[in-house]
Amino acid sequence: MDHLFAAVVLAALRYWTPLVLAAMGGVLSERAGVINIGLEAMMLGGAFAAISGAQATGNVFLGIAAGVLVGGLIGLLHAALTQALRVPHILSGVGLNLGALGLTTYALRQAEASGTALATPVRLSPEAMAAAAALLVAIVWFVLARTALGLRLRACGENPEAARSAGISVERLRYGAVTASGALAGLGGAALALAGLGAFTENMTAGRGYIALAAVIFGRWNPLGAAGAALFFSLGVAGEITLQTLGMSRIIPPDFLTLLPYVLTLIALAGIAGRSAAPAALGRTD
Amino acid sequence: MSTTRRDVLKTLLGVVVAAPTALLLSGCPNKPEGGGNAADPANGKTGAQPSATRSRAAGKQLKVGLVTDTGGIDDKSFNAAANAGLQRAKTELGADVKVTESKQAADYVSNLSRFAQNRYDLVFAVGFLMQDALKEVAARFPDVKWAIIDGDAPERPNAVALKFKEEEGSFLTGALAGAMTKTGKVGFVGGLELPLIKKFEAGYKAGVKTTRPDAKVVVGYAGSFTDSPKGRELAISQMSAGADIVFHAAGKVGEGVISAVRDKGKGFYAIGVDQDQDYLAEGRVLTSMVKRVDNAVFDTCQALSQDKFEPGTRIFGLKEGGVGLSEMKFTKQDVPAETMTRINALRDQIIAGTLKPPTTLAELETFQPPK
Repeated sequence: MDHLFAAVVLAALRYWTPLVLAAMGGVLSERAGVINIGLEAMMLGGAFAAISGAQATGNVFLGIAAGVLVGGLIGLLHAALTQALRVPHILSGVGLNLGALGLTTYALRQAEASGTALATPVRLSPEAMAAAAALLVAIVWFVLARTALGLRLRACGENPEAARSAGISVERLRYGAVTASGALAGLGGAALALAGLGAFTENMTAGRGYIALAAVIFGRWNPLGAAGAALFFSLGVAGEITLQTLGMSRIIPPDFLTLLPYVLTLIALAGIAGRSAAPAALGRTD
Repeated sequence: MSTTRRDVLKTLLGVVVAAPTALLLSGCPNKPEGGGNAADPANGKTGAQPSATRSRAAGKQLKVGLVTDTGGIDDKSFNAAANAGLQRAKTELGADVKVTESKQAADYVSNLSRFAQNRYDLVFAVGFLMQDALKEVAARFPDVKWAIIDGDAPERPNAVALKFKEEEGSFLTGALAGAMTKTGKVGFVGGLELPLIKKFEAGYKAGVKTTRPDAKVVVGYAGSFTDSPKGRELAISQMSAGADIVFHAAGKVGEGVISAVRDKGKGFYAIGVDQDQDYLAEGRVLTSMVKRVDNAVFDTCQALSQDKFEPGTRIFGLKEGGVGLSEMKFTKQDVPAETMTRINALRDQIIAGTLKPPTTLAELETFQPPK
């Protein structure tokens, strides 16, 4: 039974790592007032770049750097679309998600058609990556809660007019926050690909960006809350996988078991529902 | 805030961002040249009238068209396999063949119709996604013969559906897994819980039961055909519970299964599906349950060339060469000769019709393994 428990926890941590990194990105972006449904695109782009980078250089750290860079660039694009061009945030995010899926799938098929799979023998240790993710949670929390930069960033999300009149450059801070958000989600994608499969497959993030965003909301836009929510969901997934392996699907259909993490999250969310904790100016384009 | 012109502009801007990317998503653009597959470079493109003079000169040369779904000709799956069958018809039957790649679902009807307008004798539609398109064109062009792979054909004298007996191939993979397992436990990873995937599961379990009645089959469904990291986790979980062979019928999710087995190393095997996936992890993929779409395409061409085209549904099982095990290029030496003999004997029993693998879990309940 000990062995089983350890297996569930380890599987949950492997699932948690990419999720929590993207969720930290989501917290940064949304606390600065920019809705980031494009986390999925940033993760997928990061996963693609990480594998391509590691494949080209044979170096896992250059692979990670490529993932962070591409995630950050997609973040920068989201910032430009929402801040300079005033595109509604959701629309920009959905566009980025579709675009990232289309482009990575196309590039993957092109690579496969020329006889090379997007795969690399270079790997990251999932345990080390989970530890790094935990450290980043602490850093994001510290920056947001305990530094002047964090205070300004939150001001951009709560009351941009007041922030502006206090001499804060709202646009510039938001550019920074959303780019950092993309870099974190890109790191999450890199972790997903390099600490797991060692390969890029079509749509391999399979909605993890959306779940990360849900964890942000569930965690009430607080880094620690979001990290806890992501862990809760990851334990649900690991539990569901283990229940299937134990043969529970003979009693409960597998479809219901795969629903389990989502149902648990919904119940928990209903349980803690109360006042809205969203940044007051979240998603405003004016 | 009321809807102002500025809001409309913003929305338009967003759509402009999303639209080209959505287009990219919905269809892989054609490459200027054929890829590294067997495709004849001359067949790559659509539109241009085929050399009519040549076909006239040859008298009754068979003209065969094929329309891929949006996966494109290099999908390493059904489209590629269908094209391989078509190329065989070209070399062995001297047929005039041509392929059109669909860039988006909206092109299916026009791509199919163009072949009919150019007086092709037989046109293939690859994949169940083209079912509705086929229904439309089959009614509009009654003189043309239509065939759809893995989908339903309309009830017309000029249309045929080509389907496969997944349970028969899966039975053999199960029999092999049952004979090869050291732990007495084997795994199965499915994609979505569809009747089609249940067919794989039922056949596989029956095969395991036949060669190793006391073996346990651990089952996991990913709830997806693309979440390959989850496939990896399912396989890791099954292997840590003692399974040493894992069969997947889960599309891209299966790549995660194969990666988990590869990392686990010696003593563990994955089993691939649809195409020969043995090369994905040399020596760690025991075999693959292949669906021979190429054979189905070639057979249909051959039947028509002999004026033996039959409408309705044609089901390709082991007997028809429609499903089977891969050639096991990297693992042949791992399998004892007597095991192979047993598997071949079971295959012969299925071909002879004395052994009928179950297609559902309900049928599996009453399945009696042969002696």
